Amino acid sequence: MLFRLRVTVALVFIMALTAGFLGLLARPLTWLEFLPALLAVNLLVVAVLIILTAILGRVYCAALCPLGVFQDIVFWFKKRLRPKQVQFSFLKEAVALRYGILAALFVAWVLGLYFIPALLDPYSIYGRMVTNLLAPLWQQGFNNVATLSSDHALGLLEKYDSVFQGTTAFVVALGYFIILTSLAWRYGRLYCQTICPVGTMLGTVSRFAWLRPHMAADKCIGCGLCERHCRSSCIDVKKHLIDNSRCVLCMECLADCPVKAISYSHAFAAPASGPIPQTAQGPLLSRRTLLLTVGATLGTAVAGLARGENTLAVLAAPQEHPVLPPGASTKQQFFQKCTACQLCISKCPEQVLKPATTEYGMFGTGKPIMDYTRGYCDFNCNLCSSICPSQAIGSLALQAKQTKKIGVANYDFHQCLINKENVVCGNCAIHCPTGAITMGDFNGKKLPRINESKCIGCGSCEYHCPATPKAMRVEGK
Amino acid sequence: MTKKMDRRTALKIMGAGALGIVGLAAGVANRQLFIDFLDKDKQQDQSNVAAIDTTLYKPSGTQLSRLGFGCMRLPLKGGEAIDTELAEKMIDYAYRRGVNYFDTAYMYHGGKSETFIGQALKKYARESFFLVDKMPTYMVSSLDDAKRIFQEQLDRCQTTYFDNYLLHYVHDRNEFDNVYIKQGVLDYLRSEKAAGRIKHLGFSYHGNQDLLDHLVDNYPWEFVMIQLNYQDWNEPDEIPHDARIEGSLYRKLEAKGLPVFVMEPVKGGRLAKLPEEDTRVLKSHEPNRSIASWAIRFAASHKNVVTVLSGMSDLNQVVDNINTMTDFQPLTASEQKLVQNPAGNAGENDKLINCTNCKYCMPCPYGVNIPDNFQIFNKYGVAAGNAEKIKAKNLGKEAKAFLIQYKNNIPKAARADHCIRCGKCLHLCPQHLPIPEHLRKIDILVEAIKKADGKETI
Repeated sequence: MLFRLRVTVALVFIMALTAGFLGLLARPLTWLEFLPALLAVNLLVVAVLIILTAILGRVYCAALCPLGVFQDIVFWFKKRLRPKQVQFSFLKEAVALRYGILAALFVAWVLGLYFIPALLDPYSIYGRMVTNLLAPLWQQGFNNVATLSSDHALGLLEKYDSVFQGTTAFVVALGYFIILTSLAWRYGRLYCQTICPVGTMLGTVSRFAWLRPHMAADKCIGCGLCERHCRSSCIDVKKHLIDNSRCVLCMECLADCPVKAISYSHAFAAPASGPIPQTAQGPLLSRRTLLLTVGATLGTAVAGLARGENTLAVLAAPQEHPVLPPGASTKQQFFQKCTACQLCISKCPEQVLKPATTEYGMFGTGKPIMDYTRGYCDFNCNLCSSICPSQAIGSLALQAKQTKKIGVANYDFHQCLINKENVVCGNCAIHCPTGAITMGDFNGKKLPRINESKCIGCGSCEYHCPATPKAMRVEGK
Repeated sequence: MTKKMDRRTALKIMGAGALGIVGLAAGVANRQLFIDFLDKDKQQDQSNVAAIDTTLYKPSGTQLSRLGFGCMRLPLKGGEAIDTELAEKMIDYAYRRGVNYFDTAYMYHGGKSETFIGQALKKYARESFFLVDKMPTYMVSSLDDAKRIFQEQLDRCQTTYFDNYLLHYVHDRNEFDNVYIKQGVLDYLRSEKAAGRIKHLGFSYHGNQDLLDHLVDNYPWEFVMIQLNYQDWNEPDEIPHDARIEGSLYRKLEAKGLPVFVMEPVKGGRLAKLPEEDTRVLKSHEPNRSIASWAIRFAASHKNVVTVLSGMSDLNQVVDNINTMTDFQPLTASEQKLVQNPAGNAGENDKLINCTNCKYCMPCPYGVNIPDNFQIFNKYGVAAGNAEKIKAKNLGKEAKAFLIQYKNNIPKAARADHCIRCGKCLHLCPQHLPIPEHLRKIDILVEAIKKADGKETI
């Protein structure tokens, strides 16, 4: 029962989220993803998720986290194709590794190395895989169908304009895909129970969760089926223990147990007989260790903050004036919050946003950047600012967006066709949505003139400039 | 049980890529259907296949088929190269039904058309068909150019002579005088005629009335090729204007007793699909005939017209055109009147851009796909209304459909907004269209619809 319920809810969530990334759903359910909500200081969502975890355990990992469910899907294939190889056995919790990773990420974030947490955030990893791997496939397939159906049964389908986000982003996403698929194939939810920072945070709460899977020692016949099938390797059948900080509530053990010895129930409800089962919290993580870790982490963080921000980010050499998406308030805040889930890139109707390679410096790889060779920022669109789950691209009403200055156009006479081919093209002027560019007379020659106070840096001039290299270039603030 | 599961799993894995594969496969399947049909047709008994109607071509005394196979719009493989397998089978199908007039030119399909048709016809006796080629006027600046090109054409077509040979795309008096008279190319072509490498000399015409009068009054020709379709046909009482001069041109040629060959009878496919009301009227008149057949019959119904050329790119067009010309029924005078204005609202066509998709303007130095922009505008953009009304947020479903078709059919970099009005296409257009103006008009319309259809989300 619970197993089926969990699978159903998980599938609904992952499909809705994926559909959102592919442009099939206007508002994907990304706002309830943990790390983006935390970065967006969306206290309500964070509080709800934590309270939910405190009551039910890691339901977030069981159903809401797309990467978790993705690993379950991989694991589902393994169970069908190689059932005999599903042979897990209990692993001791790698406390030092788990909290070490979490602490390291936190310290890195405080030191200004914002890309490091983004590297391991499960939701963002999934977003990057969809944007760079699944979306191109889906879009190409959809376009093929649209080509055929245009006059037939399905009616008129609108094709996607772009299909590929660039080699670097593709290779990175492919790397993640291969690693995570093979990890999930071999070790089940290893990523979730040991590496994932969100998993560690929620796992800390779920140690003390009210409801959790229990094994009734008197009913258990010791067949070991639950332990062999446990994708989190957190069931110790000999001791009749289930480590709830690592349990992702897949509910499979409940479904599998031939004698129904495992139940999902109140933490303190004493089983019909025998002692209260000891959960793993005692032997595996003492309160002292926990306090020490937290203390050390906070200490480093405070030290880092005191030293000033962005110490290490200077190492990478960013492009001089990258143009940020309109909703980004300051560069600092944008980098702090963006987890490079690439939802905005997936959804940008003009394909202006692309994953940065080195434009923001080495550490900005994967974050969205405006590329005016691919398109220009549509004057009448503020989509990216309305969907960013971490508020790195802050919400911006259309009117505010239409006056938001994200950069300013620069004109290079030497590259202009008027200079090179003596053609008065004026394509920049006629496509400027704010009328910032006009064709003026300079000694008998018609040249574009830029009114910088009107220019909002939308890049329409740069996109429409026929010269290579461009005579019109937008530079960020 | 496990086995069953495995198959299901496999199916699901395949399902992921299925959309795309289905898409690709269906395109291939259509082509395969054509090929199977043609192969089957080849194997059937040829003795009782109805032959296409013919007309006497006086200069040579031969019977020419009323339909000529134009080789400017051959089927393509992967969007660029000619699908030689399918195209050759289509040529063979036409040949088996008596089509014996094949027309190519130096620059069709980037020069590959000549090579293809020479290869495809090699298996038939040379005297059993007319092979027709043209001197690319716009590429000739000296007599040496002409000589080199002519030899290259013979080589490409693997032949020793052309039956009809035309001065291609004659439209400008200065150009004609310079190339053919001053450089002596006309004399050179006459010497080739004397040598037997050209059997009959004529020209393909895209200019105005005055130049045609000048040419046929002052030089001897054996035939002329003009554009002739019912939309651009003017009756004697209508003063020729813009493109509506074809009636006048034809009457001049008839008065001179010159055999006429017709190109663009269907206006590059535009007369194969008419507005709904017009279609209804024509269909109720002749339920079993295609809309395109009216255009073909209109062109062939004039006394001096020998052969009507059609550049056919798919099998349906070949079969339909051949059926039209087999047991040919000319349009009666009243039918000719009817087809020119079936539903009584011919003025609507004024909004259409008079492009025949000949692609002479291509490639655009700035990457705009000019003919595609015009085709999509004619098909969907006219119904979208004008940009002024759309600005008032009156977004009809036609406007949305146009926007989608525009995005679907034209890659981003080839859309109208990339036109910078350099004007290099202007003198290349046989229809003398103000191409940059039309592109700007399309761009403004698209921008207006996009604005009204804004992606406003907050």
